[in-house]
Amino acid sequence: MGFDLPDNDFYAQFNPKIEILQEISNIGVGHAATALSQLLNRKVEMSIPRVRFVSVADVADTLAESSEEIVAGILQETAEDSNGMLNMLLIFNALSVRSLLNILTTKSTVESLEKLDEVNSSIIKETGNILLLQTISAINSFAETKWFPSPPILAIDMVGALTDELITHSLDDSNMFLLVEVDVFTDEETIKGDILLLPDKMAMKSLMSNLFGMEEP
Amino acid sequence: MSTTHTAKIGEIVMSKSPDVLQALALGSCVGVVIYDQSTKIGALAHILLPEITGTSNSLPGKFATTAIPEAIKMTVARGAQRSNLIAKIAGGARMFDVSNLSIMDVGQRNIEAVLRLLTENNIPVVAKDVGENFGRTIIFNLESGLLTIKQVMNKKTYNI
Repeated sequence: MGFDLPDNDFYAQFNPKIEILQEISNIGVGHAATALSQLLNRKVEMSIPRVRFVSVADVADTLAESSEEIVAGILQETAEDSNGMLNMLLIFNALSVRSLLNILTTKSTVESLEKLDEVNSSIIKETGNILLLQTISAINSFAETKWFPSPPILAIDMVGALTDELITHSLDDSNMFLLVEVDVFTDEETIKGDILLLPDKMAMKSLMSNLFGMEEP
Repeated sequence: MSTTHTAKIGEIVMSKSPDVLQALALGSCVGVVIYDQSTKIGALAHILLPEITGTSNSLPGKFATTAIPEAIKMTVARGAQRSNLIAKIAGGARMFDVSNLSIMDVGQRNIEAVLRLLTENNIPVVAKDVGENFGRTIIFNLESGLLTIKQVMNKKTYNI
């Protein structure tokens, strides 16, 4: 359960405590797996989430084979409050989408992500919603924040294009952000989900100060 | 031999015919080509944001306000004629249909900033393919001066 820390002043201050973020993600995803298990009506297991910082330039290549790979992205924004704003983006690759639909629909007619119909899109969006809501609720209960998520938005396109816009307003002048990777398994299928946690600077500071009493430098 | 130069987010690449310049998977980012047809020298900037935010001292290619002057400087230093420079731009999409536009519509703000900067620097925009809600990969051929746009999601390819 390793994590990489960038050589970056802003993040260096959080270095000793980053493991806690991993634990929070672990709990969040644990809740999510339970919820997913009920939805899918079968036993669902999950890997321990891997938490690491990723640089802006490398993010698309980290998430997929290439930045041009077509993936499904589910964006969950939170309202901006006194703790700043924490947005999340969940990425399912084509294989994971197919696995999910195989499990959730009786007749899966998905040829490719480009041709997902409305019903199937909706299923993917709601599944993502469950995972993301559990994650934010775990963060809220641990960090004593009150981030309130808005309805999820689904977009299917090149992974590089989907991450562009989020990068722009997440971290102004640092070039890193937080990536939580998790694999969810059922008996037959593996579903891989990558969750990008995108706290703005204020959110990062409130997380750290609520969790560890770290003051603004 | 033709070499392909790829501009990652925040980078500017520059070369001369017969090379090729490209930027992959532009979402809200804008790709700006600055080109001199007579010398076939050109640059491509992969711009992330309209202007510098905070106290950033990062790559000049990240922001429209710094990337465009830098791209001009680079091409001229390589031998391009300043008065011949033209521009082609692509990107600036809105990938997620969000409610809170003020925060999220970076694509539109990028397009506006790029157009303003090009006007201020007296560089005519001869072709553009901007906005909408799909990602684009762009490839610029320094020999022909054509910018190829690939909408990978929609399986469409065309030149501008």
